[in-house]
Amino acid sequence: MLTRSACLVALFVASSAAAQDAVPGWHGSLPRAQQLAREQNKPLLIVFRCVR
Amino acid sequence: MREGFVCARITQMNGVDLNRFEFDYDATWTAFLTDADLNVYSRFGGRDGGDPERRLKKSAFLDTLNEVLKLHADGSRDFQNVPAEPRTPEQIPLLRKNHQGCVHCHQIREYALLQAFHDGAFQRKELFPWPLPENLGIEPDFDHGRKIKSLQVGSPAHRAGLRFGDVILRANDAPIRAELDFRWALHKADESHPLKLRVRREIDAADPREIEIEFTPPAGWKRSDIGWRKSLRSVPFPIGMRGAPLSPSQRAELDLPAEETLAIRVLTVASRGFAPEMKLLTGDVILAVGEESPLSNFDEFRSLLLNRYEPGSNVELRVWRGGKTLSLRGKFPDWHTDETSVP
Repeated sequence: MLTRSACLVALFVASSAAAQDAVPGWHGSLPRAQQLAREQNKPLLIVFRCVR
Repeated sequence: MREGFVCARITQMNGVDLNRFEFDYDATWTAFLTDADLNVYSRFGGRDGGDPERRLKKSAFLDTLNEVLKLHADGSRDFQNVPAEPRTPEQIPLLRKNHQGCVHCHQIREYALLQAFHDGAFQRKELFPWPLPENLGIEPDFDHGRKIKSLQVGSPAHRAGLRFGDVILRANDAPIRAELDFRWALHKADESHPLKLRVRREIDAADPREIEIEFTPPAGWKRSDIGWRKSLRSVPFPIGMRGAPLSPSQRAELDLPAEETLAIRVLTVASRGFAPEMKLLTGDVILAVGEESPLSNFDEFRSLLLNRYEPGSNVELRVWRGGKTLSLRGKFPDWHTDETSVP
């Protein structure tokens, strides 16, 4: 449950309008994230957060 | 669970492949779950005219994340079918010509609407993207995403044989792992073609069955409230007026009911468009569209008109003018906009 909570906190921090700069653990470069996903054999979680 | 994924956060749409990352561009938050080659397992997010986060439940998101982790670990290739050829915002000529800097999500849809109009290709159906399951009579269980919480009695989905508790597994052959997957399938569906659904039904908890259901919803099933959409301002509907809802005290002055029925004061009338066609005057208060007078702000009023009418339709408005209530009749105007850019 703790892991779930941590995940959600991270996700919703990422969705916060205040979090406009790089968020720890989140990649701003999709090609870099793809490369890591290949290396680590993990799926990608890609969030589109429109910052108006 | 976060450790199971590589996470990426995209805050501008420049260069993004819109065929692969197709979502409701009026929403401000959407997640995609893919493999390293960007094959799409699922998409999560979406909103409607109510609370922007009403459809974003943590438990549903966790269910989807868990399922994707299992699919990935199993080496599943059951991806959503998206065009291989990329399509980027910069391929929209008006956007490429008139826009500089960061491309926001909503600007994609707005430029697409303007481009379609200026190309002479705009169709009314483009007004109603990402249909809601509720349009078919399905109320989703937002805590579970793809589970049916209830069905409206007599609705197309109910008549077709769907039942509360059914879990939607596929829609028109697309795998459904979140409510937004279902909405994507509805968004891509041809309005006049049958919908094919596969659901899991737990008649007996120990013996769930998978059932195929096919039905053709009635014409117009994709229409819904678009008053909340930022892109509404780029719809080529020349309303030809500015308006604002009456305040409670203004309603009292006009002896209108205290409850919030339609009451839009006409602030200005342009030289062309819907308002002059209807012979509306500055100071009029619009009380009803046809026989309807639902709760409505100005954008919902525009949405209601677009839901009910198309160019050439006969429109009737009930209007308060100078102490009297009268009916105004006219034609819904042709699509038109002079805009070629989006702020």
